[in-house]
Amino acid sequence: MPLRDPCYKLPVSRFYGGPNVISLLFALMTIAIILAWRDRWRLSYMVFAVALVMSIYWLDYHATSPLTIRL
Amino acid sequence: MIILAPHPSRTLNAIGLLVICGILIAAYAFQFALDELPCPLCLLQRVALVGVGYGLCLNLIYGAKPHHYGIMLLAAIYGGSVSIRQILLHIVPGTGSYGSPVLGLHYYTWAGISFFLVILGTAVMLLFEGQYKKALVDKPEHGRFGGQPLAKFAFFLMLFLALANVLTTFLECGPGICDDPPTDYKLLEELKSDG
Repeated sequence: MPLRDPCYKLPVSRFYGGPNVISLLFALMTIAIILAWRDRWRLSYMVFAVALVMSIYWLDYHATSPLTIRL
Repeated sequence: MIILAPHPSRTLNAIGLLVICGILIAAYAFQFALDELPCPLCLLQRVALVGVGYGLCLNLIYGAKPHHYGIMLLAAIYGGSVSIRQILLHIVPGTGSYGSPVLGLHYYTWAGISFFLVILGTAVMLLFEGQYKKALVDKPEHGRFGGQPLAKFAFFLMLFLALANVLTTFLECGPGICDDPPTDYKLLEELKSDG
């Protein structure tokens, strides 16, 4: 029987690597928009900043293939 | 100094936001009509588009401010970087491509052009200092969004598309790291195989 992640009720082996970060990035951007709408602009900027920093990290994570160009 | 009253500025921002929404809707149209799943880099470009949309939303809610445009520039520079990275992956003939071409260019190339135009448009908008003047700020009776239905519509469309992207990305990648390249809606397939 495969090991199961209690949070998601799905086999951990298939989703190894932790929470879905790209979905989380969209969620953070959405939260930032909602916070701005609710006049919580300081918190909104902070959430956006976190989302942007995480996005840069995940660009670095996914940009693995070597480029066949000479710079 | 160039004077731009708050209403023209807000209308231009609302139109800009509708254009960003149009790009996200077009991305969905190709995703579902051609059954082409977005790759992780494609998704990061969509995140950047939502980031640009966030800056525009701030202008619609609070009125135009330089730091809102700064947020748009940061998101567009990030999105442009992701696009350039993906263009460079396929720039050498014979190294393949990802997705179908639209009018001769691939999605990531269109995204790169879009981010360049966002940077250009934002730089132009920053020139109009009159839009930041206190005397020209919205009157309280205008309410939120400067009382503009177009601004309100654009804001809620952006909010809807941001939420839709949370859902569809979750369906595509599941609660883990996205496959590169993706082959199916991982979460749906997993739920089917479990059921």
